[in-house]
Amino acid sequence: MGLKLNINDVGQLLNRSTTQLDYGTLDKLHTARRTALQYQQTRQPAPVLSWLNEHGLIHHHHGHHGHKALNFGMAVLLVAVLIGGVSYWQHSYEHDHSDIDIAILTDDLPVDMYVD
Amino acid sequence: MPYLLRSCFTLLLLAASCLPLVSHAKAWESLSPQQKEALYPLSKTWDSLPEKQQTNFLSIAKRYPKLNGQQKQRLHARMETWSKLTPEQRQRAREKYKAFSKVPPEKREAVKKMVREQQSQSAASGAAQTTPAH
Repeated sequence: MGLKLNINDVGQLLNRSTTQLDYGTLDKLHTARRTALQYQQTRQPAPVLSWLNEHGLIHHHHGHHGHKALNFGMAVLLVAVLIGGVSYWQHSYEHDHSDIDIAILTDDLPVDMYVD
Repeated sequence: MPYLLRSCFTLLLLAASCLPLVSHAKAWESLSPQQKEALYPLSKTWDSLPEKQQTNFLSIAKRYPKLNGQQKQRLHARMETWSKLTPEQRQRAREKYKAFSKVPPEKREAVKKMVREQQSQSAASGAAQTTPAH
């Protein structure tokens, strides 16, 4: 063989090949492209995104930027809820002694027995 | 306000509103009749109790209806004394109670018997001192 092709040669060959495609194949490729573009345009944002967009909380038409803000907000929300949940659980756990207090206050032995 | 900041602020507010509410101090008058019944020995001192203590007593009041007559009587008789202890004293009492609960039942019963005897002796000697001589 001995034929060596560089990148430019390959590009030229590919370009030439597309011009040699038959009409049926080109038509199918064209239809597929059109369908893909149509799907991209008609795809609706998620209901939450629509609601936030309607209420001016995000600007969905800004596209990628709006999504970034939403992701950041969601992350902040998640962290806040997690921190709140953990602190509340700790608060309840540390300060609810009612079970043991009732046991002491209703025990056979007087409270003095347990108090220094 | 930039929409990024605005959205974060709104979400934070939403998060804060979703957090469980921490109990606040309640005035005696705002308690329900059932709570008042359970906590009546504290009626005069309730408003001056620290918030944490009030919360704890309200939890006790929730369990009050399930107690039997004797337990209710004991609870009422000891409630005021308990409320006047310092938080450290109460914590120490809880630790002692937990430790005592781990003692084998026979030993625990022996201790209780001993305490009852001491109580009846001191009650008898107290009555003898207050009874006028004829």
